[in-house]
Amino acid sequence: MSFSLPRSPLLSPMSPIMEDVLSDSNSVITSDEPLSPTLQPQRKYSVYKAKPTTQLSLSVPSTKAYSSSSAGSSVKSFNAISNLLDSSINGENRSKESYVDDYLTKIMNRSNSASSTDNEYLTFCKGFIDNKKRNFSSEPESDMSLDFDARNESIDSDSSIECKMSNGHSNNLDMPAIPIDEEYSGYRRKYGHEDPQSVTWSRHRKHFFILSSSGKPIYTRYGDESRISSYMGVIQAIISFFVDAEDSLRCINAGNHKFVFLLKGPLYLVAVSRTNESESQLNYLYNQILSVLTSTQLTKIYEQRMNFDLRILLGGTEPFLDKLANSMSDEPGFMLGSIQCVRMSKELRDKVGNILQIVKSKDLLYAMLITNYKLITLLRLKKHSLHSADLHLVFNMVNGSSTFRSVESWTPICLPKFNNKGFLHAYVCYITANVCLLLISPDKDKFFELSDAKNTIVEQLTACDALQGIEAASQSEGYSIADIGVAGLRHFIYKSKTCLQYTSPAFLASYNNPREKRRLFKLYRYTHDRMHSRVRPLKVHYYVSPSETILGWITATFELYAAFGPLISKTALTNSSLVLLKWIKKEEENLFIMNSPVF
Amino acid sequence: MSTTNNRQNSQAPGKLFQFKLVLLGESAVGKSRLVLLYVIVLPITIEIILDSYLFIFIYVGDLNDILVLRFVKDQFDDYRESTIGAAFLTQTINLDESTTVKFEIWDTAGQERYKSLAPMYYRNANCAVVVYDITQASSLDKAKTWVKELQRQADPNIVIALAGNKSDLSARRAIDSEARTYASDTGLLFFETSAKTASNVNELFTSIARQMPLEQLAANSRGRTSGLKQRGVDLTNPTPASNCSC
Repeated sequence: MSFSLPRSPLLSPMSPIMEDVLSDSNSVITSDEPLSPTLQPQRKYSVYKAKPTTQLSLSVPSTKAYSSSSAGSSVKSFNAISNLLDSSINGENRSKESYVDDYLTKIMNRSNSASSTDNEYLTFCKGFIDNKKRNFSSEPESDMSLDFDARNESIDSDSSIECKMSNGHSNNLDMPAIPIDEEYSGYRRKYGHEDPQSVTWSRHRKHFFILSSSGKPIYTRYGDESRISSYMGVIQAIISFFVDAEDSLRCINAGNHKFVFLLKGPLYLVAVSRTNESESQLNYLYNQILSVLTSTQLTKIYEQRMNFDLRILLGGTEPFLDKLANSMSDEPGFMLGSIQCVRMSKELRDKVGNILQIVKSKDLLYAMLITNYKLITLLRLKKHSLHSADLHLVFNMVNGSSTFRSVESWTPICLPKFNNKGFLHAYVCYITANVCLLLISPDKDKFFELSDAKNTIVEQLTACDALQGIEAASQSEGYSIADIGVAGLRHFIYKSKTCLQYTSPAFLASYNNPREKRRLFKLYRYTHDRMHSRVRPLKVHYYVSPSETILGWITATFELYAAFGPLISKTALTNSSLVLLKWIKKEEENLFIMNSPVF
Repeated sequence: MSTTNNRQNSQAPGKLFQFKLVLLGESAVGKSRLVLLYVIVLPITIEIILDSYLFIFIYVGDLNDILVLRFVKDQFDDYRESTIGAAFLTQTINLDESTTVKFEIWDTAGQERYKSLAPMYYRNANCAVVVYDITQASSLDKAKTWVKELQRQADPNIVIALAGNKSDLSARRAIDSEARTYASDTGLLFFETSAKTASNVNELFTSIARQMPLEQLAANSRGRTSGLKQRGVDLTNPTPASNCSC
C-alpha cells in the first residue's frame, strides 16, 4: 500500500538492477530505521491524539487512499538513503551506474553472463511487482492494507505475458527435475515442485530465502533451492553492494512488497513478503539452523570452505524450516515472544509437576510435557531458565516430524539462547497419543537413564489418573469465548509479561476457517507492530476495520489484543475489556504456569 | 507405544537373550520403514475393514483398540520423513520354545551430520543391520564403509547383516549380484528386503537371532539389573549368570 508512484517500465538498457531498486523510489534503507509499519506511509489512517497515552486511528474507507500520491511522505520516511544511492537517484551519473553494473557482473561471473543476470533479476523483481499492479485494481475497502492479498487472486493477462517473457530469457535455468521416488521418498514438500519462473510461485505472500554469503542457496520456502540459484546470486549481489560501502542492507520496500534482510555471519536470510512483517521471523529461522548445527560448527564449516553446500548438513530438516515458516504466520507466540500453556486445573498441573520431580538428577536440565505447541508443565534446573525462543524451537521440532510419534527418540539439539555453541541431547517420547514427554540432558550417553525415568513417570501418572487428565486437556480445542461471557468480544490474545506466556481462546464460529483466521491474525499483527514501533511505542491502540474493532492495550504486566464487532461503542468496549481482564485474573492459575517447578 | 510391547505378554518362559542391534546406512534407504514394519506393523494379524480399505495384518496380542491399528497404519504410511537423531525400539521374538530373544534396536539417522554420533550406538552392539538401496549404487558404497567401520571399531564378535532394501522396485535395480558376492566374501548375512511388501523382513531379523552364539551367551547372560550402562550382553566381560528380571 505504500507505493503509488507510476512504475517506470523496465526498458532502460542501462543497469536494470539498480534502476529497478531505485525506481521503486526512495525505499532502500540501510541504516537503523526500524522495519515495522512506521516505514509504511500513514496515508490511510487519520491519526487523532485523544490523550497523551492514547492513540486512536480510524480507517478511511475510500478509494482515494489508493490514488493519493505517497511520494512526499515516503521521501520523508526514508531519508536514510545512503549518499551513493542518492546520487544515483538523481540520474545524472551514468558512469556510476555502469560502475555498479560492472561490479555486479564481476560478482556474478561465477555462473552467468551479465545479460542473463540482468534478465533473471528482472524476472525476480517483476514477478513480485506484478502483484502490485493487480492489487491496485482490487476493489476499494478500508481494510485493504491488511488483507490486500486475500482477494483478487486470479491471474491477469499482465502477469502471464510477463511469465512468458521470463521463460524466454532464462532457458539456462532449466535443470532436470530431481526424480522423486513415490514409495520411499523422503519428505515431500507441498510446494517443492513449483517452477520459480511461474506466477504461482511469485504470488505466495511470504517467501523466505536462506543463502550462504558466497551465494549458495540453502533454503527456499517455495520451490526448489537448486532452481533459484540465480535469484540467490542477485540477492547476494545486492547485499554485497552495500557491504562494499561498509553499510548493511536491512530492508527494501518495493510496491507492496517488503524485502527484509538479515545477515548472520556466513548466512544471509531474506524474507520477501506482502504481509508487512518484521525481521524477527528471520531470527527464528536462523535459530532453527543453529539448533541443528550450532554456531561453532557453522562458522567452522565456512572458514574451511566458503563454497560449502550447507544443504548436505541440513538434510532432513526441511520439514522443520517449513513448519516454522508456516507457524510464524498463524501462531501468535512468535510475534509475542511467548508461549501458550494448556488450560488445565492448577491441581492437576501441580500434580504432574510433582511427578516430574521424581526424575530430577544431575543428568537432566529440563523436563517438559508438551502437546501441539502448548506447554503442560516444565521442570527446570534452578539456575537455567528456558527462553521462549528456545521453547519455540523445541515445539517446532516435536511437531515438525511425525517420526517421534511411534518410537523413543534421542536427538542432539542446540538451544541457541541457552548455548549456541554446543549440543544438548533430547529424549522425546509420546506418552499418550497427544502428549509428548521431553527430557533434555547435557550428556549424550544418558538415553537409558532417561528412558527408565520415562517409565517411572508414566507409571506414576497412571497411578494417580493424571495421565488421562492431561490427555483430555490436550485433546480439547481449548476454551471458547462463550465460557468467558463477555458481551461483544469475539476473540482475544492476552500475554502475561511476568510469565512470558500468552493465552487465547479457540478460534470458533466465524474464525474457524483458515482465511478468516489469517485475516484476524493480520489485524492483531498490525496492532502489535504499531504498538511496538520503536519510534513511537503506544500504550493503547484502537482500530476499526470493516469487520472488527481491535483493541490493543499494553501495561507493565500484560499485553491485550482483543477483537470486537465493528459497531461496538467505546464505553462498551472498555467495560468488556475490564470484565475480560477480571476473568483472566480469576483463571490465571489455570491459564498460565505461574511458578514453574525447579530442582 | 503400546503395540510395541504386545509380544512380551505372550512370551514363553525360558531363556531370554537381549541383543543390542543397530541399523546403519545412507539416508533414505528405508531403514526406519524396515524396522517399523518389523516391530509394529508385522506383529498385527487381523483382517479389518477400515475406511473401505481391506487391511491384512498379522496381529498377535490383545486386540484392544481399533484406533491403535488405525494409528499404526496411518503412522506407517506417513513415515517418509527422515529420522531425527536416533530412534529406539524393542522387539521380542520366540526363537523356539525355550529361547526368547529381545532386540533392542537403534535406528540411526543416515544424514551426514549424525555420523559422528554413530559410535555411540554401535559401541556395545551385538548385531548390526547395514541397509542399502538396490536402486542406488552409491548407497552400497556407503554401506561398505559402514561395514568397514564396524569391523574396525565395534565389538569384534558383532554379527553384521547386509540388507538390500526396496527389492519391490526391481525394475529400477542398480545393484545386482555385486552385493551378494561382497557379503559372502566378508562373511555377512545377506538379504534383499522390501519394506513395502514385507518380503524377507522377518527372515532378516530371525536369522540374525539364530546367528548369535546363543549357547555361549547362555553362560554369560544377565538380566536387566540396575547398571543400565551395561545394557545388553557384554561378551568380553563374563559375569555369573543372574536371574532374568523380565
